[in-house]
Amino acid sequence: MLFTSFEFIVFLCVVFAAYYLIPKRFKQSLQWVVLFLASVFFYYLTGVNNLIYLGTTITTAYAASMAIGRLNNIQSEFIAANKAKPESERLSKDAVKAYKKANKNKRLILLTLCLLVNFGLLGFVKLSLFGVLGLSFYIFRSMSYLIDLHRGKFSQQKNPLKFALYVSFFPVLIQGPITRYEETGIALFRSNSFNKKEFSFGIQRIMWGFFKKLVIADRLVIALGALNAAPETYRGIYALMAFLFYAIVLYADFTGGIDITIGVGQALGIPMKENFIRPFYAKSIAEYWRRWHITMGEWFRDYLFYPLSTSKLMMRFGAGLRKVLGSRGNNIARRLPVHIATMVAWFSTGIWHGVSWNFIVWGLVNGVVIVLSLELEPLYKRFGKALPRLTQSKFWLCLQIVRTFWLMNFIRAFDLHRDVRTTLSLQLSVFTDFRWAKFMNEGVSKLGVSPTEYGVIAAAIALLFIASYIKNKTGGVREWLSAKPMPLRFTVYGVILFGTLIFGAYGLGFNANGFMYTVF
Amino acid sequence: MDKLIKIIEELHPDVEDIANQTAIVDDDIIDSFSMVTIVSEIQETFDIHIPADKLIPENFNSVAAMFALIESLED
Repeated sequence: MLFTSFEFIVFLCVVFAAYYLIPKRFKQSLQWVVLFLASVFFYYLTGVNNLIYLGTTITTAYAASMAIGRLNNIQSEFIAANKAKPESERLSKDAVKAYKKANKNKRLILLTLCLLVNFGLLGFVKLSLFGVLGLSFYIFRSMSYLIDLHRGKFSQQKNPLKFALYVSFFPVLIQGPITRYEETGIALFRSNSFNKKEFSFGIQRIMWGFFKKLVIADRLVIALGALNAAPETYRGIYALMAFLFYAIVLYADFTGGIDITIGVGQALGIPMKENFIRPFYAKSIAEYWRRWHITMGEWFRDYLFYPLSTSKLMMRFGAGLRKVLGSRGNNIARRLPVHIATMVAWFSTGIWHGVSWNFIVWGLVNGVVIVLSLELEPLYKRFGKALPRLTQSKFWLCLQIVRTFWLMNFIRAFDLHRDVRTTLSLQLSVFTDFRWAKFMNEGVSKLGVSPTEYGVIAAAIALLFIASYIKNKTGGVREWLSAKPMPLRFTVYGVILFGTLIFGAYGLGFNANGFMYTVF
Repeated sequence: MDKLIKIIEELHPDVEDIANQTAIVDDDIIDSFSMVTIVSEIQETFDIHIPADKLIPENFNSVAAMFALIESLED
């Protein structure tokens, strides 16, 4: 069941009605059950076999979480009992430390086993030719829960069905965001009364998601498909166009899906972390990744980059470098271990997207650009000091934004063409085989999208920019809109609703497109 | 505390009056790369291990917060 299908709208109506019509005294005990049943039904419709994978993750993660949680509790009780003893009878600090270490090792074994099973399953599926919708998203969600539980951030969720709901909550199930237990877990199990403002804002956000996906992504994807299908013909300026169209399509598709997800959560009274903060305004690739698919970036940062870069292994490596290079090599010894950790994190992010060369290269190129930017930072600073008027001007800011946007478009091409040789050839063609004459002759007329449709897409993109501007200036478009007179408000709602109904790519002649990120 | 201030000043000579800053991470004075570089130096200098789950803005927003973290791990 696609988010953008008629069935999903009916499904949502039923879920909202069942969720809020529960009498107040039963809300606490039944609302989460509605969400659980809705989530199982939603995933069941994606394929019965998919339930086996989801069930495996839930069962293994739940079993491990109960065992880890039990060990956490035993440790807490042991320490409390020791503290309650008279000072003369208390265990020494070293004995307590040894006890904690032994306990931690047991938890670590359980955690490692569960990680191996689940990431093994993920690797198996990624290497196979079949896909399992949302697998990496719910595996990442459950593994972050386990790691945080091991770190003692919260107590284990003892109810297996509540835990299953946390892992499988339908809005986030197939394309994220990769929610954390401490952020959404608690909200899922509390009682939520109907809140008119939150519900209305949630519905508006869902409508905005539909608009982005159906009017922009699903229309422009036709032209993108045509460019992509003939890379030997569409080179040079057409390759640039494909990179640009892909940026727009992926943005409208992914953020549209996340808008629907967060909107559904808001309508149900379940807040979720934002996954995008105006990514195309980033001034560097590192900043871009702090604005795009934020929950994935934070996952790799918190559970791979931080532990690895500050690990004893890296400490020893740094110390070894200091010994070999002497005091002159202090800076290298300090920075190289962190750069290695950065490259490992980006290699893993590439693999997360797919076990193929194009994604490995994509990840490594991202890593190399970030490491290079860090190393060139002193040079930028010197340049900034030498030319302060230029580097503090709006022109310079725009230049940085445009440079980052196009650099990212070139990197993203490895994901677009899924073949390293084709991608490199197309990137090179921008400089060696521009095909200006072909472009002047036929323009974009043979890409399956009419001039009117290009006009609709351009108008919709302009609307996106206006919304982004208002959000940046006021903090929130819906809040800004809610303070406006009713005629203006309803005109905007009408433009979004009827714009989607009239100009959206759906119905006869169109194949409903799934969301791009569900395949990961 | 002086040892800690020296480490941060050496890593970030361009930041003015770092000892009195209270939102070092929140104001993007340091990013995740800088944070782990500071952590590595602290680990080396104070002979402690800072677990990855302690790498949160609250523990690195000020020199005082970093020092409190070091003290809690030295215990």
